Amino acid sequence: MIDYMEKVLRSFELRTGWNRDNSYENIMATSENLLNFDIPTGLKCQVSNRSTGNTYSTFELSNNKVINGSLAYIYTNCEGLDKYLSSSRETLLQDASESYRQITPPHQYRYSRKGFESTSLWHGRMYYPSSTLEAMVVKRLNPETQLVAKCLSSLAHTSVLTLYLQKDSGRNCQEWIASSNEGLLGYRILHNFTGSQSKLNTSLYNNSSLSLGAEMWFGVLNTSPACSTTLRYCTHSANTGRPLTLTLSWNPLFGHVSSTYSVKTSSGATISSKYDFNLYSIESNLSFGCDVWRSGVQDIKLKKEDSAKPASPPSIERKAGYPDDKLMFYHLMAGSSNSQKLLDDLNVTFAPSLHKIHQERSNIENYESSLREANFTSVWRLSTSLRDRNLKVLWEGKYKEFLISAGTELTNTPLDVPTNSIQESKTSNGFLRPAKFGVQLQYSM
Amino acid sequence: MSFRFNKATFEDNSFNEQIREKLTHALNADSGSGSQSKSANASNSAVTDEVKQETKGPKKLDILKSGITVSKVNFPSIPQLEILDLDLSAQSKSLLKGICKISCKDAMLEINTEIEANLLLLYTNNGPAFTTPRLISNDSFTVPITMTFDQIELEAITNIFVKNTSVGISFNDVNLDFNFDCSIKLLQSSIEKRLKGSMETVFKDVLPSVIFSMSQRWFTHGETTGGYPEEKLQQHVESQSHLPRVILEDSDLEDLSPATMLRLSTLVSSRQSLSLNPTAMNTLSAIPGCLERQNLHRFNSRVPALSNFYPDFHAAEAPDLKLLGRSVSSNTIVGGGYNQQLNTLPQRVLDERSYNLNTIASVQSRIYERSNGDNTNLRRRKIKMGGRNKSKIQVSKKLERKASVPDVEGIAEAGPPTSLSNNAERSEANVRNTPDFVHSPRPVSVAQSPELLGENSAFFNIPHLQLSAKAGANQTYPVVSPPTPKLNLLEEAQSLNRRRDLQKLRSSLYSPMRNSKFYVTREMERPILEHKGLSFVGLAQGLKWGSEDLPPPYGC
Repeated sequence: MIDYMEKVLRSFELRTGWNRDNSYENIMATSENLLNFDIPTGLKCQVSNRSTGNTYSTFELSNNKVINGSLAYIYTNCEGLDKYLSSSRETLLQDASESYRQITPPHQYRYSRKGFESTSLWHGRMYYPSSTLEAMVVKRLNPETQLVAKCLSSLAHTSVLTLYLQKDSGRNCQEWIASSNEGLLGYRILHNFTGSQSKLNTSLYNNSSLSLGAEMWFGVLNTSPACSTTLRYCTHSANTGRPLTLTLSWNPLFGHVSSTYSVKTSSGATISSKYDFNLYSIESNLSFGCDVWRSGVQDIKLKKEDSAKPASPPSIERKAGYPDDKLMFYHLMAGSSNSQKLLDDLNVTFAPSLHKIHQERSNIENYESSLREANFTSVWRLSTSLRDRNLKVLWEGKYKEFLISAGTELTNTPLDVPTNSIQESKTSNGFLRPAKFGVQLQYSM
Repeated sequence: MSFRFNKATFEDNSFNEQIREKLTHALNADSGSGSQSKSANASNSAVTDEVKQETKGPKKLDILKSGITVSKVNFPSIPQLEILDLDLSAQSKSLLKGICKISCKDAMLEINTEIEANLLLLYTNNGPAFTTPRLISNDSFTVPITMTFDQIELEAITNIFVKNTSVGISFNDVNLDFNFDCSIKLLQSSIEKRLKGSMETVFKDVLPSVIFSMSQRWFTHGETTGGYPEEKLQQHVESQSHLPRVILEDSDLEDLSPATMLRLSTLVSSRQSLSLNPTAMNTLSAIPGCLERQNLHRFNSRVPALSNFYPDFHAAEAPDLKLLGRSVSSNTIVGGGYNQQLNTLPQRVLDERSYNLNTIASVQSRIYERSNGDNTNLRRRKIKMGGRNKSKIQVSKKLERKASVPDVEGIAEAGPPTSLSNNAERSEANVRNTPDFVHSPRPVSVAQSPELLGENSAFFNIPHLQLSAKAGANQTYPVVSPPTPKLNLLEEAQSLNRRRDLQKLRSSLYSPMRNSKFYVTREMERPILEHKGLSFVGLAQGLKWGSEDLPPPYGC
């Protein structure tokens, strides 16, 4: 379940045209969401509100052995976040819950650079009784860059400041990171290969994207390096229009190779699998995760509004070559003269393939729209890992005006056993015991 | 103070296995700083500690991914312990001071564990999630590590002090040498350097403090001593984080029963105050069932024997008896000649006729009861001296009071030597020679050893002693006391003996230190112990301790 504050941040990014998925940090977001989803601990209640036009506040109370809580505020000078934010009553579950990340190819993802304003977002969160203060500033410097400063001040830890400088040009996204914790320095880069339609692609409608990213880290204080590189390929199945994502990442330093395959098999189900392998120690791990969405009674009114607004386009018109479709048929239009005749000829020649394109495209778009419009009421998530021998279960849903997420992690490794205990192997007796359990209630106005 | 070195433990190689188990257990204790230090050793990260201190994070980094397994331990030869010097009570406070040489050769030790090689993962996991950037494909990478210590040779000269409630050990001259072999060659030199550096602190600080605190627990036997409550100690240990956990446990001491330790500590504490002025003069021993050497003379003085009566006379005769006592010198080893105490009346007593029949009778009956383990009642021959002998005052008539014993001559023969020399050997010879004289009035019986008395259970002749003594001393001396009161006296003595109760014996044996001063005369004046049980304490076989079983005496 995405917190309200996180949602405000994402709305801010959406509004300012920052593509969250075009960052190396989120290159494996889909499999992370499906395999390593967070499970709340204890009982947690969140009440959020948009207090004024520019400020948002959240009050959180959690009971994990002791009662503690936090107060969070966000101020942003960015206007027009309303249409991305909605109260917990009106919000759609698929917007409130993290699941399959639909990667939009950068050539389709366009943000308006004309009306760019240098906006910023200030976030502060005070935890009590531990008196830990979290602060974050997100500042859009120019259409391609963003500066994020995160700071943590607490009694237990020394204060930590982490700076991110992110530059996203669409094709490349680079990030420079410096953290005072361990003196960590990092550089991340993500490169998108398919900036435009690939001419090699037999399918004329190209909705796939291929990205390659890498990161390098170095802890100055502990002189420990880290690096990794990842390849991501996202596409849609040609027949059904179902999206799928493949990633392959490699850590050359420790010889770690992991591959993931995630597919949205239907509008209400996603499956993800991950295979880890270490070249040096020949250790391996296989993880599975899935989520199943359950839709309740269709809210017809809502559906109508939604369908009226965005996609589900009359595709024949577009085929004729509307300006906003020029990308799609770029290679067809490029070499052609304006003569109608030639165009007609071409139409005749390419009619079957154009039909095919239309079909594919409509397939995909219908699918996406159906996904958008679906009125899901709850989602079950399951994930398991062979090496860790655990089973994570999470239920998220809407009840009345609350967004509820409840989950547990079952494991058969002993709880609270320090890692350096010798009885570790003995105690795994095949019984799963809950290691974690929690319920989170979220209400926002 | 005694100790036992159980050599048998080292004879077979089973102790190798024991060491392996204990080491494994100690190294794997949770949150034990022992394993922490081990992990620090294994980590090749001097930086680790610095970083830890800098961040002051609540969690400690633990690069160990699994437990530490001690896979091989091999001590091919028995560790040698050579006592170079042993000094008892060198100072007033220290009871035992010794210098030992410990040596062990060709030992071998192998340790296995797994460490996390991806240090950055540890830091990012421990850091606050909010400010820590997420790293992709940053999984853990465990590396098994094996450390082998070959040819461990240890030679150390130690000073051992056994003090009031603790044992202190200091290592003076330590020669430790070993070959170190690590499966990760990259780390070998640094680990070895750190190990050798830390060895000094191990022998200088760690081992002495561990042994000291452990010995305190032995002596106080789990009780919290005034100055050092357990919690305080615990806090003390915790506050010094570099101190390793105490790796010695109570299970190591299971050979020593708590009762023994308690007794030993009592012994120790009792000994402390016995340096010059004995504190418990009126008790034989501070510990029940245990007789200390310096108390032997007092014990002897209470053994029912005729010589223990009339101390004044003895004192006059043999003043060296007192000299042998503890009051003279606690360090003097009491000679064996002290045992040659004769069960005779002093000559002066006989000369002055200051003896009391009643006392002698009770002594006799007690001797009888001592030698007779079972509860056969003491039977005395009662002779009525009324009718026919009443008018006779002559010695011969008195002899005739033993009506059942016809042999008057034998008595007459036996009498004089007793009265004159009181020679026990002579009297034994008499008994052997004249077995018929069982019932005859024989003064020698008083001088007889308890064994002899035990053989002749029906042998009682109190009145005759008096008679014969008189006969020996002065044949014509008239009987002083009238006959009828004598009979009463006999009965009285008997009943007096029956009155003894174990409770009294207990109290006298158990009684802790009293604040009475030491006066030899007073001690001697004390009534002779009226308990037959006492004589068995720690000396005789076939002890009988009454209804409550006391622990068997252990030597001191």
